[in-house]
Amino acid sequence: MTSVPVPNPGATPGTHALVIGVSDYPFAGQFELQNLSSAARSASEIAAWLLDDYYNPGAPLASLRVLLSPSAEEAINPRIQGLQEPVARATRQTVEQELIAFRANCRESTDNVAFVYIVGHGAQLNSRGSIVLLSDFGDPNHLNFLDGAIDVAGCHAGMNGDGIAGKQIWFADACRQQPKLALRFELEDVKGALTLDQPIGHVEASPLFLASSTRESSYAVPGGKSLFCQALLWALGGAAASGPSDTCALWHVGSTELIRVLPDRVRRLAAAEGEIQHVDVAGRPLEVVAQRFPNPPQVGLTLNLKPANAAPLPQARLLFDGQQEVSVCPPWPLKYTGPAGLYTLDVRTQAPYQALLPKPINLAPPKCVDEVEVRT
Amino acid sequence: VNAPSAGPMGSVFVDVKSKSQFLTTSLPFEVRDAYQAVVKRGLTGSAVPLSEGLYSVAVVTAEGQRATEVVQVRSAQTTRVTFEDAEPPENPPEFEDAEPPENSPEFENAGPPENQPDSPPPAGPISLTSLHGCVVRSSHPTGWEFAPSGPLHEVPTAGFRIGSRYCTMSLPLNPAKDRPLDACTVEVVTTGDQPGLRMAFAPGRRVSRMVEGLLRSRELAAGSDVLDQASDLLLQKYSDPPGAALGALTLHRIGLLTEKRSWMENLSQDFMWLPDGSILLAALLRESLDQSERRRGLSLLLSAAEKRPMYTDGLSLALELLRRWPDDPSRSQRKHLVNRLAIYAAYADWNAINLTVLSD
Repeated sequence: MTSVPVPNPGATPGTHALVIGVSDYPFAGQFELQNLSSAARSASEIAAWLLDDYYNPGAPLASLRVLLSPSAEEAINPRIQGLQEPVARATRQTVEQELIAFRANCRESTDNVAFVYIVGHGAQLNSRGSIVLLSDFGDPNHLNFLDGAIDVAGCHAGMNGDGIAGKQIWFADACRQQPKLALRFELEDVKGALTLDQPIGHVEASPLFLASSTRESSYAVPGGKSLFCQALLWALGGAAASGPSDTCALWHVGSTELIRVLPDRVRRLAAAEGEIQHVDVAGRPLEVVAQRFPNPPQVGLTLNLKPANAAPLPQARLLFDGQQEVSVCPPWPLKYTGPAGLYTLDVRTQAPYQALLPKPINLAPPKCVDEVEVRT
Repeated sequence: VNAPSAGPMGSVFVDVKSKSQFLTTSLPFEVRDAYQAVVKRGLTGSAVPLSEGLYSVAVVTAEGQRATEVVQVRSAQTTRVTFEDAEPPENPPEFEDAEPPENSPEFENAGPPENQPDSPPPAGPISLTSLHGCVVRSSHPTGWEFAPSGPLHEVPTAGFRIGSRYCTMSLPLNPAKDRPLDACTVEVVTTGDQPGLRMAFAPGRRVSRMVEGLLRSRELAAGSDVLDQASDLLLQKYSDPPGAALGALTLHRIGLLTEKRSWMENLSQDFMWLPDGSILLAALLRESLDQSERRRGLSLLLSAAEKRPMYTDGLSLALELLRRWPDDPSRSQRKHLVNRLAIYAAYADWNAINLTVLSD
């Protein structure tokens, strides 16, 4: 099975998703490539997020195609693992079939939304393109070196034309090879890799996020998620949410915010593990809403007092929009969790401390930490 | 600062501090209300009317960074919000002038030059090893300022040793301008526990710095209009082709360069030493319905791909065009050039704006 049952099959306009994760490479030993331990898991997490958390009332999830090649010990998200039929492996043949069907779905309406996530061994050919190796990469029955690979930039370009889903968002999460092997890929003119003919025209927006790590260890945490997958789910979960705008009347995670947030988040996660990983943005990176929220996200606020041992302790009131008081948890540091928005903090001090002006607080995702300084 | 204003509504006046008139009046800002909904957009140097309440004002600053302030708007008053960058001074005092070279030294190899520029190696494991088409104008313990050594015939580069590795950087110098508008700096930076290098346009090249800042802060969509104007200015008024090329590459990347064919013709014809201009023009000509135009584009591309690009994105675009050019007759030549450029690509630092190639 490749098409996962979704609550709104065939919705028009709808969101059509294609998710591919490859950890198992039975023919790649000749290229000194090891199996990965978290690529298929990462893809399954994204698929589960699409099934359970993706919210787009104007274009609900209308199809979800999932192709996974997990390695032997790899744990797949239970939501995907528990489907009645197991999902198909991500080989050249299955990916090609599903890509064609996915494109056909996307062509049903220009109001459709396309969502693509591909993860596995690969090579970032440059800052505008990458290839990801499929499970049968290196199969001796293949005609070309790259027959078992998908040319992400080529497929992305092939979906960028008139008469197809006008809003698309693509993610390629490639485990970049060491330069010696990367050079082998880069010397190829992507001949043989799965791609699509480039159509005429272009879609409204189609950002392509290219993540590539410098080492395989980013993908080698057994049962874990790739760093990029962790960062993406964190962002889609609300950490990259912004308020209503002319492109979306709800709180949402837009691609322009992802462009801002994802590279930094991935860099920090990688640095914590002694890795270097970067994210490039190619394609047509204008605004695509990747997630919507029916309500403003709940954001945690921590307000530290400086000096922490000030006495007598100042009294504080937190006011939404400077008017509507909300309750905060004393004592200092003050804690509050509430809807994102603009607040003011009125702090009443006693001698020997000077009076303070109301302090504006921008309570924005993912969290807000600030301090109140009192002076004699 | 609240000052009386006519009318029952209040307003917010937004400005940024910059010595560039263009930047003080052209940077986009966005106003959100207490619910964080966007209620107004505008350009710096202007005011927008607002009813009383709390608002956040976000702007892309003169250094291309995003900055936000929360302000209280009161009825019949104008609230002024001024954003200031920590803009470096035009001639940073911490730089020590190196001797102006009589005959600029040019070093071809990555090994230590015989006539090493008068620049003490910065602290740590990084040292300058070679110069090509440029000289060290000044240095300080953690960086260098580079200037062109004369008219350029190809992209100038500097070589560095970082621990046991070598690194060669393309430098976006501007031979058409005098000091200090011709220069760029390279600073030693630390990412995690790894020392590295980062190029920046010289402080006086304010519009180019803003373009660079937009890229670094990834404010591409918010800054697309200003990027468009900035690239035009850099080419037409400020005669800063490397800055214009960087702006144009970014516009191309976000699909907004299509209307700028005449710019690219100028950039390609007038600055042959900068292959990124020809690569960009080739990218536009590739889309032409006229086969002769496509052929011209291919010819430009094949010629440009023989040279080292200035920018990482110039390299990327060249590789993509070579791999995917729609007409087939030049396939073997394209493949040859892909192989040539792939040497850079395999070792490129994709985080760097200017082409930065690492080697053992």
